[in-house]
Amino acid sequence: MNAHLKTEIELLKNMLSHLSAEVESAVQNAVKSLADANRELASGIIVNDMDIDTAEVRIEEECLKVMALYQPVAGDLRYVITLIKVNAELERIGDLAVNIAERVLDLPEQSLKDHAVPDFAVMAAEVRQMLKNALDSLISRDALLALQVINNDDKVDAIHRKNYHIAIQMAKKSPENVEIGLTLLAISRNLERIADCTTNICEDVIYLEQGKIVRHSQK
Amino acid sequence: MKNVKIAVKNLNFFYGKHQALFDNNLTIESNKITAVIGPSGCGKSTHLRIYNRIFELYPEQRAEGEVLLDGRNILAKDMELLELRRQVGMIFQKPTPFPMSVFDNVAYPLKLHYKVSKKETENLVEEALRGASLWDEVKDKLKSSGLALSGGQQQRLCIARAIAARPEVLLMDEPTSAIDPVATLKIEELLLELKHRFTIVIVTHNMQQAARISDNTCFFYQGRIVEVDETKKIFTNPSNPKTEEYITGRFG
Repeated sequence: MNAHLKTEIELLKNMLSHLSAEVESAVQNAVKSLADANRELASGIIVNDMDIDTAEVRIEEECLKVMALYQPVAGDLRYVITLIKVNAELERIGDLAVNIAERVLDLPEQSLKDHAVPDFAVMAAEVRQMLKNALDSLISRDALLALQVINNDDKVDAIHRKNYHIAIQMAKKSPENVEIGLTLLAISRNLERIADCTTNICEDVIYLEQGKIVRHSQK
Repeated sequence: MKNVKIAVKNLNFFYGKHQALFDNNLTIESNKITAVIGPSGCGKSTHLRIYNRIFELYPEQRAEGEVLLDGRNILAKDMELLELRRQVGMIFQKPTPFPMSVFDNVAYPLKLHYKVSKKETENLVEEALRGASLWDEVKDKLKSSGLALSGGQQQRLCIARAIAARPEVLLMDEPTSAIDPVATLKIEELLLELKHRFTIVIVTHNMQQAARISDNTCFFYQGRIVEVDETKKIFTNPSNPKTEEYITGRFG
């Protein structure tokens, strides 16, 4: 074979690496714009998301082309299928970063500094690490690392639950802060969703490496 | 594996002094299509030709081990060859119609194996031709030569002739490699119908064909069976790296 298929798969790999880098930096900037109450940075994320969307469509088209022209089987098949799925997850993560940026723009600048829920720093660090490890596990085809990321998701879920209670307390204590509380809760929710998406990516990596579909299985 | 039609045990095969098959162990499921794949010269056709002992036409060739058809060793000396070849029919790469009429081609095994009246023969020939999805195309030219048909029709004529003998197993050695894609598709569809009545073993070089039509796939390499499993497993996640290399085109 199939030097052609090999070249195509290399090309796909590169395209996906670029997309990964863009999505990672969107998440990083979203978290930073929240921490620093940086509206300019937040606006930038929204503009850049168009590039992410374009890249996603191009990768999907390329995958479909490879399927139609080469009809890959076995490991090659699993690789292309995994790329299609990871591609969609990355685009979704980009959208979640945009959601966070929009919430940052919603908040009055001062309130961000006054009311920031303390756990955002920890939560954001966890989520970014999960995303980084998920993408590393895909590049290095490391199912063990992928499993670690999946197991880490509970931690982020727990922080999100805590934030939920903090937001409720905030609203109860001073009803004039309800809107801010809801906005902060939405941010927490978006971070938690990003962690879920990285978990999905890791499940795809395990499928890629072991041919096992581990979604929906009890932990 | 549920219903075993053929069980191959420690099968070795020799062309004179040259050993071509090594310790083949395999079970063929009833009413399933088993695809046999592997690079040229890996022994897949050799293996198939043992199932009805046609290799014995060549005195230098010999098989050792057991091939159990419904539990009976077909390599045993007391196996009746004519009966074996009725039970285990074979279709070859190039269509092999006899130089006689379409009707006589299909009536031939009926005369050979069964005592049937003229009227019955007519019915059975029609039934076999229908079974091979050929009846509508040849019903008006039953008296013309089988050799006058197109390649794809000739191959279906051979299938009709094979199933007229009412076999239990159909062996197919690259049955579509000499015919065009449309005729190939017809034969593949036919196989999917025939498997409800027969057990089918098909040797194919066409990987997509194996993936499309077979239930189980067996990968041969250098006279040995490397891997046998459900086809969907073999083509999505084979266990043996050698199988992976072969089906993804990295060698062979």
